[in-house]
Amino acid sequence: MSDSNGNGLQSAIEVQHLTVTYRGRRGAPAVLDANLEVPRKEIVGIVGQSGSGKSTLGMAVAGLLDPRQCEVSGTMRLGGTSIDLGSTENSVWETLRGSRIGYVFQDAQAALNPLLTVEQLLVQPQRHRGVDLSAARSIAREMLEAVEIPDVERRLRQYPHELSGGMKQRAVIAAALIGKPGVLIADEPTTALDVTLQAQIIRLLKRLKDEFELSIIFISHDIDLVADIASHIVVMKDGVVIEAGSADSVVRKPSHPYTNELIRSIPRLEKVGFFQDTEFWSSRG
Amino acid sequence: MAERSTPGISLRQLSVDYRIAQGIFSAGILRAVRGVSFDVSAAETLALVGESGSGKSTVLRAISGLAPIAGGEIRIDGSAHDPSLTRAIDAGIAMVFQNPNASLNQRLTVRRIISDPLHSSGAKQSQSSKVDHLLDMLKLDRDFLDRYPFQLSGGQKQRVAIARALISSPQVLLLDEPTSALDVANQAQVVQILQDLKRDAQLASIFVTHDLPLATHVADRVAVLYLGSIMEVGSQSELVENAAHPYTQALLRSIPSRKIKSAERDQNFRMSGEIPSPMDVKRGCVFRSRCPVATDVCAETAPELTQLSPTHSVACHAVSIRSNH
Repeated sequence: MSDSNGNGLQSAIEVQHLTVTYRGRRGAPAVLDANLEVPRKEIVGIVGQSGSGKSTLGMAVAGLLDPRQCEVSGTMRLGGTSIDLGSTENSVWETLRGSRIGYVFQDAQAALNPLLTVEQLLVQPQRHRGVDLSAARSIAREMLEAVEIPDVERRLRQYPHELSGGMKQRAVIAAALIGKPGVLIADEPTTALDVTLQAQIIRLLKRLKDEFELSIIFISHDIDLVADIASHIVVMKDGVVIEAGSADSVVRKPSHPYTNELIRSIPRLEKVGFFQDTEFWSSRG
Repeated sequence: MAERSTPGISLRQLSVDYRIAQGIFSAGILRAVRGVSFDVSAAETLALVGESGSGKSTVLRAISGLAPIAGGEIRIDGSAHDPSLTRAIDAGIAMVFQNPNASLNQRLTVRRIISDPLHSSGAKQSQSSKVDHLLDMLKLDRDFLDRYPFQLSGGQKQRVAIARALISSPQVLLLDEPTSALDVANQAQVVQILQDLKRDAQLASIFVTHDLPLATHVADRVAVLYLGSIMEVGSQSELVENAAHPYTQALLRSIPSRKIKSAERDQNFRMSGEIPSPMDVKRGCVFRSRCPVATDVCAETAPELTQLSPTHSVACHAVSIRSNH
């Protein structure tokens, strides 16, 4: 990426030569020799279609890939810590997840334990790390306010099914940030949401980035959305990073024809006659 | 909206109520659609756009007899249609559902799936030629006929679902988010097929989607729904360049754009909060709890759809006041 100064200390995360192969699937690896650098307090967007490896990359960075299911190789620098992505024990990852790396998944419903109240969801991980109960409770309240959930006292007593979709995703973001990680990985956090809610969550993530000094990896299939939120964009196709650079340069002057295709494939308000462009669509096979 | 005598479908003040259990002995009424009126003429496509809970799919379900109608009228080619008395297929209505995996019978071959509606409507003549013709129209190979849905891709399945809808030669085609389960390439293919069809078969189509840019590309006119009411109807240019309703404006500004960063868009308009529960909608305008320009009158009476041009109507007190001065 353009503003790398070579020593890696300026970046929050630097992934090198990441390759992931799912066991039992003969053929191309899900991620092949991918490099990724996330500068401090910046948002890097990873964009690609289904199967491009973008989520696998995000999960590898958080140690969420099951070694029984896939073979991982590559290294990562997380702040000053060097991590071997292939051989690091889960017990080590457990100390990193939550306190160094937070993760927000696409499906907020599935990410929240339905048997716990919002308060329990936010207090339990802190108790696990030895925070005392009253401190954990007050941090839970602060965090709900930080993610702009109104009526905090009532919400703390509620269960996930009592929250609307947008509210659930805010609660998931609060849970991901409760251990004050420096890095947040957001994997399609708005795909299940309506467009006005999506705009609110994007606004929230930008605000939280400044407030908590977060470095964010934002994964999405929507290049317009990524161009809006990210300062850097990484484009993936079939497990390979095919283009990386500042958001402006990737979107305005894509160097790879596939990036151009991604940009052209979204119906837009300003592009009248989009679907009449038959030559383009028939050439896609 | 002006009355039209051309063939197609007309809705007048259509309302849909669901009974919702609240505890063991009591039930509440959820009004999913509140007094929706529109006309779609032959060879025209109207898109219904809205967020979750806007009632856009419920309108289609009510037309095809899958949702309980509480009031209002449906007219097809000028004559009244009561979905509780006449089956959709007999009234010339066909529907394509969002999820082809759920709407296609996994145990039937493509041939059975496509031709079954003919059996149920009693027609027998020239079945196979009709099926063949549809396959050609939808760019599906003949050898698909003996396959099962699980052997097809998402786009192919949705084209089979469209073929099944068209085999009964409907006048009205209802499309409930037909492309939202497909990737962009398949979406483009299905949309293109639908546009060819509309022209060739003189269909009146209603296309439900949550994607406003998509709606403006596939439809002749777009109706924006919020909590079961139409907020604004207009052609593409009327909605995109001259959106009059504050909700339409908010929707437009919520769409991610490469060209305008959200920080710049936000200076013009910002909508906070979420759609309130349809169980506790107060009187007055349904949008007023999130509206930046709401006044006292909005809490009193719900605004009527007012014409701004022959194709452009809006339901907003602020707009009516502005245009009266």
